[in-house]
Amino acid sequence: MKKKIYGALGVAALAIAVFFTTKTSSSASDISLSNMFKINAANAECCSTPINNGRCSFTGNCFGNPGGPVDCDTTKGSC
Amino acid sequence: MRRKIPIIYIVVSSIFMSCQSGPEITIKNEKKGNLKATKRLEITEEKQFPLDSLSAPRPPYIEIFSDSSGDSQLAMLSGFSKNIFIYNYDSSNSPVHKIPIGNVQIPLAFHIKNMDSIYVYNDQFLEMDLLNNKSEIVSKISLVNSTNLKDLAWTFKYPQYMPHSVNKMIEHEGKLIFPGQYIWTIPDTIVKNFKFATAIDMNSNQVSFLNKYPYDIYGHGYVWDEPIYTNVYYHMTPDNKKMICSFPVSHDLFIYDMESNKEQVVYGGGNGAENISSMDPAQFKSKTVAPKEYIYRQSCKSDLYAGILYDKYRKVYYRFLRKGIPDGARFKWENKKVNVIVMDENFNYLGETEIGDMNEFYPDNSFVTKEGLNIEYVDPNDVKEEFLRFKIFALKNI
Repeated sequence: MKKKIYGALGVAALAIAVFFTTKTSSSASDISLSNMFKINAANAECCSTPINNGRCSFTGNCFGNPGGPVDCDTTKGSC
Repeated sequence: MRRKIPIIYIVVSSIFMSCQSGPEITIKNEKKGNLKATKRLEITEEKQFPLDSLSAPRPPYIEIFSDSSGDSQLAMLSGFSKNIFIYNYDSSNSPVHKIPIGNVQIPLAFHIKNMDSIYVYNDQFLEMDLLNNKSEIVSKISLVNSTNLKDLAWTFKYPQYMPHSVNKMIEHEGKLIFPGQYIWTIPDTIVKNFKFATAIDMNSNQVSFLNKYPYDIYGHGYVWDEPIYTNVYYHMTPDNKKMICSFPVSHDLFIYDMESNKEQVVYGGGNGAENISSMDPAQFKSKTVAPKEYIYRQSCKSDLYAGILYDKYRKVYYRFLRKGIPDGARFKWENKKVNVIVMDENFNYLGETEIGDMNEFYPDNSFVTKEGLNIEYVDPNDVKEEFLRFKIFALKNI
């Protein structure tokens, strides 16, 4: 049980951290970051590495974003 | 070779930049307030299936299927332990069978054709792996034509996947249909050609693609810059000849003939559904993309449609609508209320029911049985996570 919770939280925390890495306006004080942990946490897989070639969706998934901004690694499984 | 790299990136960047500069579109719900309800949904039953210590509610994928003796079986993907657990749906006891899929790096979805042919989508390599009854991978079918995944130009050509259980893989005339999507705002230069549905020939393993996004909604450079907007929910018509697509941002349903590829558009909206607007580039003029907070806020505020299911026992369709959170309320994705719209076989409106919010209901894990519409229910106070639960909804006259 612990493994399940810690595993999901760890990956989700990483995903959320990556999602909010880029500096943007902080006017959204009514957005609950802690609750974003729950979004599809089991599948969250965004992670930031020197390879970064993708963009993190708010569901915590990293998808290729050629020509656009990048904040995560789409190679998946390497981090 | 040296000269090729910059040219490729200039082209790619141009495509990307062009997609960020489009106008805003508001998709109006022309029938709002004018639809008459005659049916509603009511909870009549609950089912729960025990989970092991490595599995949690909201599993990434489930599938309901009939075994060789005709019994209903519920198969559930446990992404953490990399197993597919099979439960007898009627008895809802502990799993009767476990299929280890440890050989698949990132399993996100599956289809059990039979116990010796299990298709598992592997997100690591964008491939469909075919497993036999010993869990051995007997075929690896690339869904990107074995393209080098490091060269991201493939994303303009092939769909990517965010599987949901409500989007069951379809067997159609020897092919396995596994619709994907374009992920970010679709560049105007490709939207007329990009096909989002993947078809795998189950004999030859040949992969083909079909069905295009409606240009009037996703073209013109309109900014739908988050996969939650470009997601495609779908279901087949009862004759298994047409695919009905429920795009999150459209009140209409788009029906694609699997043979002729002809499209038909029918209204499939909710009586209370609000107009849906794309992102407004004026809100982030100075930036190259929409700020993440803006995207999250827009997604929370907006009504967004989701899965569509056909109920063969009652001859009705169910379409999910995730309601926008009103201004002034706390913007949290799970605070969205979930409505289920009911339509008859000809997509005539029969009614809609608000079932609760997404803290407790997970409409992406839904399916139909003879008992009714099963929607995953997660008790917000349940910290033990011992069961996978479903509330079952039955149709009642008003």
